[in-house]
Amino acid sequence: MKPAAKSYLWDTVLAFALYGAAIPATDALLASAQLSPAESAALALAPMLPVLLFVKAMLVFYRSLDELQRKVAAEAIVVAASVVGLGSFAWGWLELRLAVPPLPTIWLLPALFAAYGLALPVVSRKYLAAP
Amino acid sequence: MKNRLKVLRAERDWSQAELAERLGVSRQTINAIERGRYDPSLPLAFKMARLFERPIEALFDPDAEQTAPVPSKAVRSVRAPA
Repeated sequence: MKPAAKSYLWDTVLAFALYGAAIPATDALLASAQLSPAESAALALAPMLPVLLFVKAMLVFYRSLDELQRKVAAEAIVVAASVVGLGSFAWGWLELRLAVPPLPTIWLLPALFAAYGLALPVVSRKYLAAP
Repeated sequence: MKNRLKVLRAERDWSQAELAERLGVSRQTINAIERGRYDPSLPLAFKMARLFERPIEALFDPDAEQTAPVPSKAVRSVRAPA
């Protein structure tokens, strides 16, 4: 495994381990401690910090890619952003005009990651598939 | 864009992986360039020209399209019967 991929893997494992630990820890503190609204908001957002570590790991990994790999990744991001963006936009119209349940926005980022993961092999085929 | 990367690589008896390592790119990128599925950036094209000690025009022909290798089955089907 390339050093950049290894570093990405370990940073991702660390980020998700911290994220998994932060949720019950902050839940417990929010339920028990007497906090000001600002402190509560800061504590509620604390699980975001490990996610930032994951974003940093992705950025470092992206910079380690060569030019074709970056092009493929960039196209996959465009596809993923379009799918998730248009999907949530369409759902927003349904929320406005019909009585559909509101979209839980916490799922938008995971949906973006998932859509990127699905788009990557599809986009890669254009450049890497056998004739 | 047509290129002579595969020929020049073969002349030196380098594998795609070896060439990729010399150029600091992935083997998949070399494969995509050789197949004409991806045109390299100008810096990478110059790096290739320097590596093969040829002018850049000797590697790339912007006026021609790369022809994909014809699958063996198709070759058989167009050959005239003996």
